[in-house]
Amino acid sequence: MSDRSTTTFTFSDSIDADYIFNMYEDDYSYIETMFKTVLDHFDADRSGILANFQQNDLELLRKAVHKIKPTFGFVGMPDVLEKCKAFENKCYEVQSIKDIEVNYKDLLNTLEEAHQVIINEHNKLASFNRSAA
Amino acid sequence: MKLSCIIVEDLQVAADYLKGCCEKSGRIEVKAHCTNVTEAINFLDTNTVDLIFLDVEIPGGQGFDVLDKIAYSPKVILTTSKTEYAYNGFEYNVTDFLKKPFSYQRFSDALKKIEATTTTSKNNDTNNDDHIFIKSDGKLIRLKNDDILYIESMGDYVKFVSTERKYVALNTIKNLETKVNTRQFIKVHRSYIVNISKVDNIRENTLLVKGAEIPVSKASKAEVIRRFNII
Repeated sequence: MSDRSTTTFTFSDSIDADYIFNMYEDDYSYIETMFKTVLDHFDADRSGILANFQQNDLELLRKAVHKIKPTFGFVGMPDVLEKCKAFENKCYEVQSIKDIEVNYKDLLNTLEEAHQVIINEHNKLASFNRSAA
Repeated sequence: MKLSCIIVEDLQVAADYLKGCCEKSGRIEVKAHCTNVTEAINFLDTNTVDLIFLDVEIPGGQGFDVLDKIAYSPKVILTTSKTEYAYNGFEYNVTDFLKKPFSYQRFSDALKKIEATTTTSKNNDTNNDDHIFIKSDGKLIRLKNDDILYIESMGDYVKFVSTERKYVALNTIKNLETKVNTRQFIKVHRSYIVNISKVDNIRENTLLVKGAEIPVSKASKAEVIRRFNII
């Protein structure tokens, strides 16, 4: 991960700051808004993954992961995005949900960790923007 | 003048980011955000836009289904995280492909391509030929524009209905839309191109052409009214 920081705000090590600045430049208010949007929809998007796994629907599970995948690009977590992509590709290779149970559990753990990182980063950004106002 | 667009995207953060890019450019007005195929088709059935930002994997089918169903051909920029769809994009003649997430600079480059192709197509909009050649029954046949009443889609084929007879040729309405003399012909429905000078009567959403009833789609109606100089 990048160790890029500014004099005003430093992203945590879990966030690729270059990725963020490439999209939003240093508009921290906008960055906060985008993190908030991601958080507002995170549970619903993750629920889609859980539901389709429980319903044993491999294609819909793949689609649900495909949907959430770019989310992590918008919050500077390309590694998580790549992990989603790998899972999505794995779905094409296997015959049934059972064949990817291990990958699925691993993905869920990654999503949970990422969720927590996004929450923490959003809180930091909100606090920073309030103090800068 | 700003280009009008719709965003077809089921991921909220991606749609918001795209809206932000459009606003920042100052060159695009976002008319709507649709999250699935049906919503997009319904919107485009009653509204015309210059440009569609189109995600491919969306609820209700594929983004390409939207392009199959609409009656006209706006510019398209695919926005997807899966590069495999680029090939299909070529088949649908999309102008560019934005892999999510993308930078504002990349967005801006795509916009320049749209503006360049829009200018080019306006400059090329001078097809004044008085005839077309079609390949039918293994022969090349010269059809005078004045003899063609209308052209009707038949799946992968089209039927040219002239004053004398009918010809079937391997082609699509979408392709012919840009090939025929656009001063003389107008696409009034996803399945019909009509010779403006041959229309006898206009009733609500139907054109009468030498006894044949040609439907007018909602999306084409405004352009039909403009071209027929209805007062």
